[in-house]
Amino acid sequence: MRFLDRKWIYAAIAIAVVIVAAVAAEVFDDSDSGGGSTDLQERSDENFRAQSVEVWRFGPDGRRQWEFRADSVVVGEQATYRGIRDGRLHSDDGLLTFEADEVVHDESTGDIIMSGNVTVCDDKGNSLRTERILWDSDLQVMTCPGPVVLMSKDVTISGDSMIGDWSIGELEIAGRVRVTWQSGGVLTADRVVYDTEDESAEFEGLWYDDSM
Amino acid sequence: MSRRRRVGSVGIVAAVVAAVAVCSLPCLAAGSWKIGAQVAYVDGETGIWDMHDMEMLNETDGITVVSKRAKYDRDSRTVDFIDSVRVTQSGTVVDADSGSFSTETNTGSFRGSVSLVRTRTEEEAYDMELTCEELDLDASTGSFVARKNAVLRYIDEDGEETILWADQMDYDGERRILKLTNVSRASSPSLPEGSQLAARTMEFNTETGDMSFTGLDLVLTESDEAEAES
Repeated sequence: MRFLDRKWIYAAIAIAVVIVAAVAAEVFDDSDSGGGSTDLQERSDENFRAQSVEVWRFGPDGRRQWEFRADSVVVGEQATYRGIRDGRLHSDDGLLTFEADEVVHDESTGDIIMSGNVTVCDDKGNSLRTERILWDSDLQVMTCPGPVVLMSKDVTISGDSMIGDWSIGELEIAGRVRVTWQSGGVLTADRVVYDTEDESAEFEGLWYDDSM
Repeated sequence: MSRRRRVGSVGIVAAVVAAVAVCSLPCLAAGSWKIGAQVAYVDGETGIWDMHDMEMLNETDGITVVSKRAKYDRDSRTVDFIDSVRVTQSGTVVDADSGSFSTETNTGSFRGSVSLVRTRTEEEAYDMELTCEELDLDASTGSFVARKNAVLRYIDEDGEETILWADQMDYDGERRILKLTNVSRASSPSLPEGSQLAARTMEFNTETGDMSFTGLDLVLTESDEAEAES
C-alpha cells in the first residue's frame, strides 16, 4: 500500500514536469503553433519568444533521469525544445552534461532525442560530439546513429555510430573507428567497446600506425 | 684409431667455412611499423595491448611479423610475443616460441625453439637454416647473436650439406662478419669421413671471403691422414 502511494507520488511528479513544460508553452505567442516537428522546421525563430524553460523528469523509481534549460519550447504531439543548455543526464555511471540545438521529448516514454551540435561531457573531462542522440531514460542507453567524436585529454576517438549503455558504463563505437593520440600514433578498427569504469577497451579488426 | 693434429691453416676448413659465406638474415631497417590484430584488449590501468592473431608490417622494408598472441606497450613501443612469432622478409623466415621486439630501436630477442630459414632463390642457390635457443636481433643493421645450441646448416646448389655447431654465432650486419665461438663440431662433405673439426673462434667476412681462426683443431683418422699426406 505504501509502495503504491510512492508510485502515485512519482507519477504526480512526472505529470508535474509536463505541466511545467505546458505552462512554459502558454506564455509564448502561440498564434502559429501547430505542433509537430515539420511545422516547427517551417516556422522561423522570430515566432518564438526567448523564454528560459527548465525541464526535468523523474523515473518510476523516483530517480531524477534528466534535466535541461531551453530557450523555447513547442508543445504538440511531442514537446520540442530549442537552445538547450545546462543539460544533465543522470546515470548509474555518473552525471553527464549536455548541450544541443534541439531536444524532442517523447512524453509517453520519457525518452529524449537531442539533435544539432550535440555535446555531452562527463565528470572526467571527456566529451562526445555528434549530431543526434536518442537517450533512453529508463535503460540509460544512449544511441548515436551518426558519426561521433569522443575527446579526452590525450586521445580522440571517432566512429560511424555509437551505443552507450551508461547503466554499466560501456560504450560501443562501430564503423571506421579511429583513435588518435596527441602524442602520436593512429589506430583504426572495425569496432571498439570501451569500459568507462576501468578505461579498458576491446578492439576488433585493429590496425595501429606506430610512426611517431 | 685417430690422431689429433693442430692445424694452423687448413684448406679443408676453408671449404667448410665457405658455407657460411652466404649467410644472410632479415635486415629489419628502421621504418614505420603498422600493428594489427583480430582482437585486442587494452588494459585501462597499464595501457598494455593484449593482441590475438597479431600482425606487424614494415611496408618500407617488406617485413611481416605474425604472432598468435602478443602484448604491446605503446609507451615503450615494445611487443612481447607470448605465443609463437614468425618474421618474414625476402624469403627468410625466423620462427620462435616467444620473444620481444622494440619498434623504437628495431631490436628484438627470440627465445625457445628458434630457427632462421632461408630458402634458395634464383640469385642465391642455397638453403640455409640456423637453429638455436636464443637469438638477439638488431634489425637496423641486420646483426644477430645466436646462443645456446646454435647450429648452422647449409645446403649448396649441389645438394651437399655442411653443418656447424657452436656455442655462439655473432653476425655483424654492418661489417658483414660472422663470428662463431667455441665451434664444437663440423660436418661437411669437404671433410674426410670420420674426421672432426673444432675451433675456439672462427671469423668469416661474408663479403671478401677472408677468414681467421683461433684454437683450431682438426682431428683426422689415420687413413685419412695418410690420404691427405699422399
